[in-house]
Amino acid sequence: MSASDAPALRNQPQRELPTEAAEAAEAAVSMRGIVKRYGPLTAVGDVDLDLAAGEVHALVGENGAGKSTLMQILAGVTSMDAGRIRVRGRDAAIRGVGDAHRLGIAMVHQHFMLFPSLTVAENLTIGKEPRRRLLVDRAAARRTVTELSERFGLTVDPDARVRDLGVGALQRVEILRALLRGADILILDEPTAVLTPQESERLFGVTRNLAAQGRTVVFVSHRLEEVISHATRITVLRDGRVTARLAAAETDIRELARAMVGRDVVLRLERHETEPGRTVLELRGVSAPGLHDVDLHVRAGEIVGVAGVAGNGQSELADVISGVVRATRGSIEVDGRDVTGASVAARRVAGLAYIPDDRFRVGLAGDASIRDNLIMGRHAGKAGQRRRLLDRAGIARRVERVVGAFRIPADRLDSPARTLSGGNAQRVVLGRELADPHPVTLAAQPTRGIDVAATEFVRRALLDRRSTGSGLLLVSADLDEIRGLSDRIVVLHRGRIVGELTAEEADDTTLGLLMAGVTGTPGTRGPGRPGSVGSAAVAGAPEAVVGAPEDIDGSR
Amino acid sequence: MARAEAIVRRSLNPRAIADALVVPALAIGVGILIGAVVIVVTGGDPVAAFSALLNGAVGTQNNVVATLLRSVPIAIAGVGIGVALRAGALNLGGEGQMIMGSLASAAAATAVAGVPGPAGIVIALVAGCVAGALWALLPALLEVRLQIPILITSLLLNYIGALFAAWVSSYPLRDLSGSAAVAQTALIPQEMWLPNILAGTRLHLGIVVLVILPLAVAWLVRRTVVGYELRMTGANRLFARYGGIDVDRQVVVAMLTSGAICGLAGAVVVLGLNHRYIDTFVSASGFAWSGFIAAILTAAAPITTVFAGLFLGGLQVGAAGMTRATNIPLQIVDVVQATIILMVAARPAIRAWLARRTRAA
Repeated sequence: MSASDAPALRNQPQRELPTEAAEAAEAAVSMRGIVKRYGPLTAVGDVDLDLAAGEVHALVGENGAGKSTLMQILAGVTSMDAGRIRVRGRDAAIRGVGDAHRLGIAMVHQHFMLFPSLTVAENLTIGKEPRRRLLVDRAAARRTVTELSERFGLTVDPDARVRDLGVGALQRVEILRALLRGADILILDEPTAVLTPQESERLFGVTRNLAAQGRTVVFVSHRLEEVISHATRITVLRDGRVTARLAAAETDIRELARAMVGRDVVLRLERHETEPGRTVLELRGVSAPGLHDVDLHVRAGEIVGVAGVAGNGQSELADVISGVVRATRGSIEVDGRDVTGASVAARRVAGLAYIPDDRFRVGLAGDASIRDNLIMGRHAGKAGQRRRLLDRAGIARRVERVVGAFRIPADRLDSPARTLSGGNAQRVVLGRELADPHPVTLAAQPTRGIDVAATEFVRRALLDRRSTGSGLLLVSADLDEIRGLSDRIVVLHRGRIVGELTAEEADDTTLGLLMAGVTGTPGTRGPGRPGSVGSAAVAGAPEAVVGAPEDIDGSR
Repeated sequence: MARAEAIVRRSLNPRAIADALVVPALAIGVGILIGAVVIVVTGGDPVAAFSALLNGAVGTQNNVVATLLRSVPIAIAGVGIGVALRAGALNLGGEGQMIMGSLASAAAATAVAGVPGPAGIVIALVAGCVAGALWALLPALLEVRLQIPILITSLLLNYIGALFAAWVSSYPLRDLSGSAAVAQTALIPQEMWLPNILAGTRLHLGIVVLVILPLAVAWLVRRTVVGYELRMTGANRLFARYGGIDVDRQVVVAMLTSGAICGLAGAVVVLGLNHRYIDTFVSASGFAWSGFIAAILTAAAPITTVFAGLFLGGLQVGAAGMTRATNIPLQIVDVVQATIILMVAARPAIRAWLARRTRAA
């Protein structure tokens, strides 16, 4: 390349754009009779989908409904077994990601694929750097990125190192990369899963902007509120088939949920008033790697929600309470007993049930049988017992009781746990942890990655638990879940508790600001830490202070 | 190293027990097939070769006895190595543990020469177990305390054990009465020998271990609390720790048990077969490595491990017979065994291939 090619980044990949009005009116993408099978399982069965230019199209459905598979087929990540795809009125053979890119189709995945040690501009221009003689023309690269980010309202600092960016900014970089490749059909896979409410709003501002420029945006989601407020059209999938095509303006959450699940779903569960009893879990000044001076208490019969952007100390908090990690400072009491130095087993005996956030990595042994998974923690008998032989009769009774109460597929108890769907796997974890009364229940991301029906089941189980007088600590990235279930809410930011709210006080703005580390907002109580966060954050750039997972050690 | 570890670990998960029949049968079948191809390529007659091999393994009573005698230490070591595998520990130190067990039992048998029969034998067997267990303890502690992989330390301890035993049998305990070229300890008193159970042959009571041991280990693993904790530690350490299991303790217990059983295998070689410690005998026979193959071939299920041990013993004894009857080299057995290991390591690929075939059908 010569110097005259410096702004080559703007030369988007060559392809034939529709020039005539008749062609423009045709759907940007038309998928017909798409089928994808995995062995005996039909992931996508005969699906038709039309995407128009200038629309924001939402694809919703439960886990395993086939929405991600369908999008992967369009993006060339997965092949299809049958069907036809037309892009801008022409038959398209998409055999790989490269083909999709040439057609202007790009997918932004849930996991970002960027080089942490390079700057934003370097990441975006890698492989096609503008050059000046033999050297990379950094100024040109920066200009290109700035220009593009301004054009689409995707504000990023081209000189920032990617490792210093928060998730919201990372996502904008990924979207910019897709646009730089010349994508005008943009697929976003669960884009809001890791964002604060403010960041989500911002993202949808961008998608509206892109649609207004005549591009097509498809996003996969299971958050029904955001689908209704931000999509133009909605396609609902269930078991690999389309169950509804709706205009967002003409539908509501109830109708959407019914189309997803196939029956009426109670999403907002009735929370009976309870009178909180004695304190059953108390953390005083607890510090551990990733946690700083955490004071927290949970009383019997209440749910305390822990909100925060992923990677701000939630898993560390769960680890330090469950005993997998020891506190370096402070003390922890379970049901009045000091368990600061106690083992995991001793904490269970003291009365702690724990639903871990990663059920397949921590909560289950995938290769072991479902039966073996159901008895963990109780295999040596009742809490505090230490038998030598497995009590097979007792185990059989317990398994039978749990399987019945938690609707676990009873005919497969000897199959490996890895064969369970996400929802059924979570039933096994819940059944094991909630089958017996415990004073304290620690639930981390209890509904992450499971479908609407299983979510309803899990939330009901947690509320039942509360009404039996157990104290629950609920760590969740789903703010609706936190608000819907919790009596009190604490917010974690960079390993510290930056605020405490009642469920009523916790509107999107207040919660979102706290999650971004902005304290001292009216309506918050608790340990405000003025000075811990720069004033720039208040000025409307919360992403600047949203910690990336690696910098939560508080070294500021 | 980590890659090798991952491959072996992957081939060991309990799910593999489900296809316990398909994969070993396929592995053995392909092993024999490739052996046959090599025979043909080198100008031999595979049918004659394998019938000579079969005859050598089980054709006569003497050959059956020879097969059993060779299989006993292989199968015992295999069951022992399997115990560690069930807890997710890759004990590659079976050979060193067998050597230490042999040496200790030979020394103990000589030391307690006055003790009446059965008691003396038990003392010598226990000495072998203890020595094997201690030799396995060091790698376990190094992994638990310092995160040095058992895979590496247990393997390297084989050399230290072999050299230590060579020194002991060459200097302090060397038998100076005979003119044997190889270093060995003195013959142990005859009342310390494992009793002969078939007149006219060398078949000894050690064969009983092949019945009792796998049943005992299977019972331990399936029916006891320690066994459950061991299995869960092997299936998913994070899960085990989350459930309140002391994972480090499980690794140490599993390695101690594994080492003790390997030590027992060594003791049986001394008390039943050679009646003395003969230097390099254990390593030259490759008992522990054959045991390792038996264990991974059967995903460490103790009872089937014994059958795999009998198969490998028969293969090795039969090959010796084949070499005598034809002019096909003994090394053909290594080809078959190596193929079996490859097939077992490729278990995930085989499973995927089978899945594709069934889908296409």
